[in-house]
Amino acid sequence: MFPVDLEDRILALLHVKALLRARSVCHRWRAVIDSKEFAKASLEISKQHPLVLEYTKDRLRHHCLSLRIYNPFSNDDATVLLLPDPDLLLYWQPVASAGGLLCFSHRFLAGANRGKFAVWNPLKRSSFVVLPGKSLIQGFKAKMEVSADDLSYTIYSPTEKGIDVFNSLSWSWRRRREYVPPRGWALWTRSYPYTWLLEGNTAYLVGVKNGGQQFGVIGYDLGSNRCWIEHDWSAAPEADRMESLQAIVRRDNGDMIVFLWDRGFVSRPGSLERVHNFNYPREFLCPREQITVFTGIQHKSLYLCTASYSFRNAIFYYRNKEWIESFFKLCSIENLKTKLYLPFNYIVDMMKVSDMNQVICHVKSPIAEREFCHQSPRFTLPYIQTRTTSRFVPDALELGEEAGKASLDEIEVELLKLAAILGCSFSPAINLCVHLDQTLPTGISIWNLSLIFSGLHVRSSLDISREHEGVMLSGSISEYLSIHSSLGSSARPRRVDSSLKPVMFVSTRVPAYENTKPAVAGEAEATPARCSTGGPLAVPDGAGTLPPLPQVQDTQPGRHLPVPVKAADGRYFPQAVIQG
Amino acid sequence: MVKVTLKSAEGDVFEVDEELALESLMVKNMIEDVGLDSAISLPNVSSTILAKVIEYIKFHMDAQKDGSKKTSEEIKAFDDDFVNVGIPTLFEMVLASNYLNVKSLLSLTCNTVANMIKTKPPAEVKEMFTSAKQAKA
Repeated sequence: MFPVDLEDRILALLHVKALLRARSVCHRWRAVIDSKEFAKASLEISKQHPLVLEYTKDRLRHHCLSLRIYNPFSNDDATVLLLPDPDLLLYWQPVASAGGLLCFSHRFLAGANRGKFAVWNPLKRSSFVVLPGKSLIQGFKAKMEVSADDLSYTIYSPTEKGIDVFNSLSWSWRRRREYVPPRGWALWTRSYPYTWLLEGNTAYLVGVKNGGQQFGVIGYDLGSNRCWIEHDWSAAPEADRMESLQAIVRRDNGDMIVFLWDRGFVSRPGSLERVHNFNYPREFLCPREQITVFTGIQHKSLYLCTASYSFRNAIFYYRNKEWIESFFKLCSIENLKTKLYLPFNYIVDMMKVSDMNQVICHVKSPIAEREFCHQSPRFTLPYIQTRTTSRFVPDALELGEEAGKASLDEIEVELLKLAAILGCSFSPAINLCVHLDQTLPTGISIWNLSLIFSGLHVRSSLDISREHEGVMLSGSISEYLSIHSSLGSSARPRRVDSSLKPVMFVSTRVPAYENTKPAVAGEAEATPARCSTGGPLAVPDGAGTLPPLPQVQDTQPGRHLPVPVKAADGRYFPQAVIQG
Repeated sequence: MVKVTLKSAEGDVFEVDEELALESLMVKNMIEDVGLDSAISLPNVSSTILAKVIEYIKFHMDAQKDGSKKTSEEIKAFDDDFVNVGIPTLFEMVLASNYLNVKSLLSLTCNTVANMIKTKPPAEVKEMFTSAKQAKA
């Protein structure tokens, strides 16, 4: 018998993609991977095995072009991260990451969104959340932390006045009292993200003296609001070179290292001394904006990332007093653009447990293909496991009008697209399958969407069992909070004549957690569903109007409201006419 | 140099330096409990696996010594070669390193298994672990 704890130990070493696959190995593994304890354990492990988030910037307009994560120590392919809407990258720039979440800051210095932050879980594409309120200034140098106790997250954004702190539990920004720097010193916060260091409750910021002519490191206690001089460097010959300050990092042996652009310094208590062997690699010549320095515990080393290193990507780590190049790949054309890196830690599923009082989802409706916001007063994100694959290509057909002409392959693309938008998993077997493992808080009606293919076996898609929490269809597509669509994997559709009208939307309202099938399920079981598509439809009796929005506790068991989906232009979308 | 006698499941006797044996926290505890006089029997570890574990510890102890000329590439090559064994052997090594409590070997073997899982479809992974369970049962 292979001991269980060893199995868990091995599981914790897997990366996200492999974990999602490993969930389907056996029940025990699934239970383990989904557990909160595992998320915490992964948090610890991912700190030791950092991934690298690479983002490409447009040279002229400086907005972000693409995001990829990869492990610099393996040859696995990078995972491309696709935001729910590619346009988001025009305005938002990743600034920090922790616990699998990415923190974005709004790029614009002026306008209503100045100082806004957003958080995104790449595992759930639709979970891009714009945080309420704003930090005092834009936070290109924010830091993020995830608590191992309750998996809540905190964002720290240093400003000229004090450090702004956002906590996901209180869901608001809190401004610390103003800095009171030691006499003669001022705090300098207008620099790169890596030029300040956060350790527990202590921040190490750059302090300047003589109007910015000389600099040192100032410690700042967030609790007591006390400032002190950690390192007075104003007498050192390099003290006038603050503009070439690259990063302040802490090695695991406690040394604090200050990187100037062309050399490194290690601090011993009270002073900073030059480390002679600490020069950058010899061929390491690139603009300083493109260098990122961060620490990692793996190999007990420092990481140094760069792009455009002789037209290659390179990540170096420092070990045994020499720089070792660990990642080495030829650039594609895209890579010639400016690149920046962030250390990226991940865990399996972060949002699952973070308490979010407000969710704003930018979701592209699969039918109307328009963007909308959903805001709900109290809402905990349901646990939806998502595959992050680059197969999600959201620029294909439109579901709805086009569906009548679509071939099965095209529908597959549509489903991919839909799955991507809804943040649920998809396997090529036309099989949208999401498990809603978590009970939603009361007060939320869940509306789910089901896709039905005429001529295909659809029975299992309408099966409602406690395990699958039911198939629920949306009354108005823009109203859903969470989509749980499931065409059971047992119903692997046969390849059918592509002339069949393939898609319809049936909207029905299903009482949550009621182990009964709605009427439509029974009918579909009796006869293969056929549907007509295209144009306004004859609507089944009693269903001519849109239902009222879901009301709290308005879930009558067995109630069934087949309702067409109404588009923005007032037309009804294809609605099934089920012939019993 | 003080020698420690280790006895494998088959009853084969291995004589190793004390320094080397202390790398295994389990053996270290045993030595503290019963002393060096009697042979330490390890009923959960077969002779082949025990020989491999000793080989591993020996190599890494030599590599860590001052004046060692081994580069990190050589160490990595040794590690890669060391875990390049069949799945049953690899699983036995995971078990042995867990039983003997050799941290570095445990993380090496676990990492190897994890890398195997990454590239395999779920069905094969299941197969892999089921056969490992049956082999030990």
